[in-house]
Amino acid sequence: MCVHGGSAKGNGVNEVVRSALGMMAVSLFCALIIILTHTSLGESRPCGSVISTTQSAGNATNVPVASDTSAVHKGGSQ
Amino acid sequence: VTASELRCGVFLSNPVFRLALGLFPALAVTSTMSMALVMSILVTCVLAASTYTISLARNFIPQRVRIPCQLIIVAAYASVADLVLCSRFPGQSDALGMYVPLIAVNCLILHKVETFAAKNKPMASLVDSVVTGIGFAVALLGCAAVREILGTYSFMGRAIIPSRQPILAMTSACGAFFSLALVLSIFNYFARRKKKDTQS
Repeated sequence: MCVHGGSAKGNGVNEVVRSALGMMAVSLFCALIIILTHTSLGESRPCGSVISTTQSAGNATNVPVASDTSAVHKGGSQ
Repeated sequence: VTASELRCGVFLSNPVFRLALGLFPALAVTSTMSMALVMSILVTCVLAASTYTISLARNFIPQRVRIPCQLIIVAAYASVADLVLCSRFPGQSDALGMYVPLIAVNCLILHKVETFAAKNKPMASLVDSVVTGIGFAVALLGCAAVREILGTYSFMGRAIIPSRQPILAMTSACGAFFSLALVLSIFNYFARRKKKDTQS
């Protein structure tokens, strides 16, 4: 009984380890593909977060709502 | 790719019109022909690369973690497509925006990867994905043609009817549904007609 339990447990552990190793191998392969692509493309144009940060900063500076509203109010009063 | 395989992928089991898969690009990026063309090429490339890789590694990937592994591989190729588009075609990348990374969760790709690539040989998977990609491109370009012609009265950026007010609703979100319904009804009409001809 002890031997049966031990072997079943061992198989379960083996399967978990095999699954983890499989996922790790796939992840490494995918990371390698992305790194190789990034390296081969070079730094011709910044992508991803750099652009979004710049755009959000630009949008933040281009929202002078108060001044626009005051201009409208001034126009209205005139 | 044989003629019968091509006919099956484009007409009999078209991913958008028959299987109703990959509908969000068909609705979201079909406002112009150029965007639809770029999205079709990207989806076809990601689909082909993912199915080929998964088919090659199908005997090594443990069954218990096959779906996470498939997702990782598809996401990696979608990232590669995004990087290449961003680097080489920045204008198209800006136009398509977040829809390029969203290729990673495209139902069409996940469906093909799970149902076909995980059970078949690499070359068969590659051929199937190319045929499916062509069918997807036909659907997207059909919707985009209707939306661009009716919404801007132009085709591929060239004006067709210059002095008329276009139907601007066709370029909006509701126009996407209308154009999809229109192209789908035309597709079904011809499919039924052909079926009747075959029966008689």
